[in-house]
Amino acid sequence: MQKKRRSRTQKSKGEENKRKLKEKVAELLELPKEVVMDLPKITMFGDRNLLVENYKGIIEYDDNKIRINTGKGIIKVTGEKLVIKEITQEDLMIDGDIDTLEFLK
Amino acid sequence: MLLFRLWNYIRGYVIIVVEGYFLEKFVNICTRRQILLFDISRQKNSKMTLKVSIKGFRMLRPIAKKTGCRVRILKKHGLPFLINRYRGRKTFLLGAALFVVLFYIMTSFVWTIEITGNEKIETQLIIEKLASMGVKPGVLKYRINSEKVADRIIMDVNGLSYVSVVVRGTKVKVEVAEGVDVPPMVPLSEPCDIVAGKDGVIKSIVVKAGQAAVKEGDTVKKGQILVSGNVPIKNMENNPRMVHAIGNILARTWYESTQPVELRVVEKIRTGRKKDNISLFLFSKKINLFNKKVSYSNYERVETEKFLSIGENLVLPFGAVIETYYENQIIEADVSLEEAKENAANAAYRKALEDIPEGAQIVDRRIEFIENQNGDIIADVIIECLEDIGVKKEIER
Repeated sequence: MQKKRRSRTQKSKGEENKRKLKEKVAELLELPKEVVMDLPKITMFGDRNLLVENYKGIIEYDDNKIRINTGKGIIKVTGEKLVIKEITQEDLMIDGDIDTLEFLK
Repeated sequence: MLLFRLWNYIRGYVIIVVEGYFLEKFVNICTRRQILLFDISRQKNSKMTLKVSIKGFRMLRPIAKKTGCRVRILKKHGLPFLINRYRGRKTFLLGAALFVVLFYIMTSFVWTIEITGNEKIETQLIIEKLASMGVKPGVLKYRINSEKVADRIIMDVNGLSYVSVVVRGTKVKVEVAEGVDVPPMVPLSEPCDIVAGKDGVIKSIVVKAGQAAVKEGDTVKKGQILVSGNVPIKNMENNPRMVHAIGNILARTWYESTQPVELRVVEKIRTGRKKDNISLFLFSKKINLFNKKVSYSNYERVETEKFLSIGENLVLPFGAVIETYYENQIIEADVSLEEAKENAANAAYRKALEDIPEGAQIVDRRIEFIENQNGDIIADVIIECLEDIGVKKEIER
């Protein structure tokens, strides 16, 4: 039991180190972070448009709530009359009255 | 965004309704299979509308089956569908193709020639010169070598200092600039004389180089040597020194002009009655349309041309010419002698002024009225000027 637990913490610690190393490398080489670290790049134009690049998939879509799976966890967008303007493998553009943007951790 | 829409229109897209319980899954699978979806909006809990390209739509069926969704086409948009609709209509397509071809052919000819910048030289003269070089309405515009034409025009037409020929659309734009006749320059290293450019009486003479040949108060004829570049040296009469003569020679010059004094003044007044004659222009051929003879004994003719054109430069070879005839009434009136004299004097003065070059200073003006044998009175205007009459002339050896 004890052993198992230790190995888990070790593993997460190893991942933590790996992540930090990646970030350092990305900063050093000036590479786009969202590619190297597999993070979503989120761009907002006021409260009308939301562009999520490098996302993984849609979990839930409704006209007042969208949940998107990304490398950083789940992003929840709430608002009114939400429309997916464009969707490709990498990019997702949302149009509508956006109220909140939440990272579900 | 407009470009994106236009692209979508050209490629064609369909608006579809997807019904089912795993709509998110449906969208995810679509994106993973590289199908571009846009304008997705959720209608109800189990229904959404979206737009997808024609190519993408063909790939949807297996996905719909997999996720248990039903796909229904709501509307078809775009060029491919439009073309499909007209596929059976051969004449229509032929007409459209013919239109494009004809339009191309029509716009590859020159239909109008525009000449700008000329003041003294007649536009007609330049147009004739252009025509003799093959630049005229109805000529293929690709055959025109603008640079060559411009070079030829500047050589052939006297008094032009600059010519540019540009073919724009169906219009040939010729821009010219008139130069002032400049006497041939004598380089400073060459010996020269200064001769009189016109008749006059010397007012003052200032010589900077050379030998003065005239003195103040002398009357000189045109072409007479004023300052000689031939400077004799004592004891060496056979071998004089040759210099480039420089000097300012101010002389009194006179300009004269006459104008008969007319006691009868003929004036033309439009009566207000007019007649329009319309003719059509087709490929530089004139076609008259119901032209009636003009019954007015005295008339003025005003011609206005109107051409069909797209924008400013793409003038098409169709147009109309409207000839408007205004009836004139001729009114003859007698004027008093004083008034007639004044009119004649003014006219003569204006005529004389045309000959006076720039830079000449008007010193005096005289008006005389002379009666000739026939009993007509003639106004004679003499303007006295002060001007530099010196012109350099190379010494021939």
